[in-house]
Amino acid sequence: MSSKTLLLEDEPATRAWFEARLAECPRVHLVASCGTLAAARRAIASFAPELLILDLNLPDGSAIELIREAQLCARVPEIMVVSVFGDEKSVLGAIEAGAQSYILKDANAEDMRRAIDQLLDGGAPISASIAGHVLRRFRASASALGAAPIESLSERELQTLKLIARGMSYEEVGEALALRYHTIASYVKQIYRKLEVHSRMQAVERARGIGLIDRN
Amino acid sequence: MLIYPNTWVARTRARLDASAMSWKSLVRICIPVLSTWWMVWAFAPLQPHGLTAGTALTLKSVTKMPVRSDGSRASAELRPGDSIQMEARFDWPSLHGRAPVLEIARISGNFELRLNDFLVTRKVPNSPWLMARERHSRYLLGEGLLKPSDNRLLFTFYGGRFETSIELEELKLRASGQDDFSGADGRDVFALFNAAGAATLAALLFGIFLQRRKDLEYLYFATGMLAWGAYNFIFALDVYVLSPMLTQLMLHSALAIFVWGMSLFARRYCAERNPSRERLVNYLTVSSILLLTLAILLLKDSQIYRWPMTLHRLVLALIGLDMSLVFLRYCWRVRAPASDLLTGAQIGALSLGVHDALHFGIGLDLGYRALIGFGLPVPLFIFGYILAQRFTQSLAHAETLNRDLDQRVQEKSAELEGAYAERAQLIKAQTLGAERERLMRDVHDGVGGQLVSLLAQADRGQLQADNVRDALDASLLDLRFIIDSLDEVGSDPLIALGMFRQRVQAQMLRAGLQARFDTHSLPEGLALPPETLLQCFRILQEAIQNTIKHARAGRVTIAASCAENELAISVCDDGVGGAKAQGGRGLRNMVARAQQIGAGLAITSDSGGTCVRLTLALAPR
Repeated sequence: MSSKTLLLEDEPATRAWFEARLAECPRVHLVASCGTLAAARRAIASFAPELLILDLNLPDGSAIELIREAQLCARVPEIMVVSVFGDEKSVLGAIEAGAQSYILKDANAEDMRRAIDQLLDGGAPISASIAGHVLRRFRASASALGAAPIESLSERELQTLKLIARGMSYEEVGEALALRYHTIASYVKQIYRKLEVHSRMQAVERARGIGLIDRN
Repeated sequence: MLIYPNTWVARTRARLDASAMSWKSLVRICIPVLSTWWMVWAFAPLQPHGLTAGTALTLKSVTKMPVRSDGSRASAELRPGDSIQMEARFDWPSLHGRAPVLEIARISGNFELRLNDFLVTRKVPNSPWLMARERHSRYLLGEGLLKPSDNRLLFTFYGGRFETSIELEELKLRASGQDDFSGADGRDVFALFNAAGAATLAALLFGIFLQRRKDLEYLYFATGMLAWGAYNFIFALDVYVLSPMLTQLMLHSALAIFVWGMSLFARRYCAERNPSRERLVNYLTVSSILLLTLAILLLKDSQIYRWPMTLHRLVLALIGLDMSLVFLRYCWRVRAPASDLLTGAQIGALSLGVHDALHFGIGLDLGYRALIGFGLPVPLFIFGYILAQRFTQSLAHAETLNRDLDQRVQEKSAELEGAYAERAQLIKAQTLGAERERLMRDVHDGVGGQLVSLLAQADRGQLQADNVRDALDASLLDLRFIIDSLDEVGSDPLIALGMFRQRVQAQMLRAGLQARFDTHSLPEGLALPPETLLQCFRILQEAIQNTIKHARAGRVTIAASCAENELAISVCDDGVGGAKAQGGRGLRNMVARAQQIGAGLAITSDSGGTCVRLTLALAPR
């Protein structure tokens, strides 16, 4: 069973490279390949894709907007963002908007296939840097609110994040915590989900704070 | 900004300010007018007056002495050692429980007065040289001693040192509390005025106290004034309506409380707090009141409780004297118009006190019985004025201070904000400049070098796909190091090494190297600056590259540890060794980079493998 997939990448060469890679993935059925946000919006409306693979910086804006809009779809698609450096700025912002996965632009076909499988199987990738940032976000909000936020991290999720921040792979974390690879991967996806909910709550709080939303 | 924007003081002041007359000028006018009025009252000669309604008593001589008597008037000449007795008899049907007041228009000579053998009063000076002289007198005759009929009043006159004449004029008997009796010479009206003035002053001071609860002196003054008002009120009301003993007790207790309050006020006002002296004043006041109460309640004979009364007066006089001295010392110390006023008031009060002491203490007849009661309003109202003035002044002073402070704070904060903004701008510019320079150097150093070298190869036509790929890989990796080194969480070496590990993992896997990372002993929360981090990444990367290229190793261990503010990172392989610090360009580069960030670099290489050990001083946390 393959998932309807939409690719959004403005640079033709890279797009072609991605198209070729995606053609090799048996679980991906590429239904549209776009170069602009506007085209992607139309494609999402007409195809209702189940998987979005997005470059973030596009000629007509940032794909973060598109990720937010996608959260309002009847069936929320899985979202994977393409990043050159896998750094905090691009990836974490996308995750907070609702993305669950990211892939480096120079990934080879094997990496690509593995990442897509992981995402469709309910997992998500993470790097030491992102783990460090996620930890920091949750700690900061916990200390700011004086208590754990509603969607706070579980003990296991916290342990996972700490080990990943040390550069451990899922396999190593699984070994250390006596958990299966897939469990760890799904933990990470849950963590991303919480981060998104958390950032949305914070946005609501901020809006209340400046009076955009009535307290009642 | 007003400190007490809504207080009645502020409102009153505002109203006064609005009218032409200011608060101060009002007080300035009132004080001399009132004082003069009071002094006139106090020292005005007594008006001769006809006695008011009542039953005139007829006097009869008891002793066989030559007494000129016409019933309402009696006079006689007494030789030293002689004594003479005159009596008057009267009936006293029950008059709603009122006791009779005996009013005597004029009486002179040493005498004692008894009602039904109970001693009412005794006017015999302690000094044989002096003669008691009474003019207009009135005595309450205790109701418990009265019979419905045939009560006997007995006057006994004693001769002095020399031949003396005695006189007794017009005895009248009336029920106590009878209105027309009071006001005979205006003193009772005067006392009422005093009471009203004292109550007003007490209320004013109490109001001030409510505004400044820290300053207990206002409360003490208010209490003293209230007591003094009560004293005057009792006096004015002719409250012989009450039992005479109770009246005496109330009068003297009120006086004691007044002196006590004023004494404590004086010490606080003059900043001469002396806890032991204050305790002594408290004890003396309380015990004196208690003693007097016991004496009056237990000893029915006024002749006997005269001594406790004298003792009580003495105690009060001492406390009052102490208070006066405190004030005078203060006025001497603080030379100000207010203290001159206070000095005058004190000297006035003291001279009145001396008069009363002479009069009561040694029986020197100086005319009026007690002047201090009449003279006291002047100093008291001066006190009141000074206190109110001080309060309004401190209010105004505080307002000025507040305004000044507000202004200064505003000026200062504006200044600081300006300076801060300027400084922040400067720091930002400096930081940005330094960071920009560093980034340029970093990019030039790593990616720039790689690309230039590629370009040169392309120019010479030596470009090979493998070389290009390797060079591009290395460039990309270096760019990622640069990005990672700028990552905020990367300042923690623990996470930074995790990031590094993920960056180089694939490379080592491709080269068939088994890598082990050992960072377990590293604590969380250390911090390294970005440039240090980047150079560390590059040194470690270089070390790993060397291992891949030259060591022919199967395994590499990257370990980090931290001890005594020193971070040590080592890359050790199990290869063939043979690396020298002075050797290839790569190693020289590593050493140079380590020097740049002030780190130590030790390379050991033997047949067991090569170990690169980087040591970094951590800023103490």
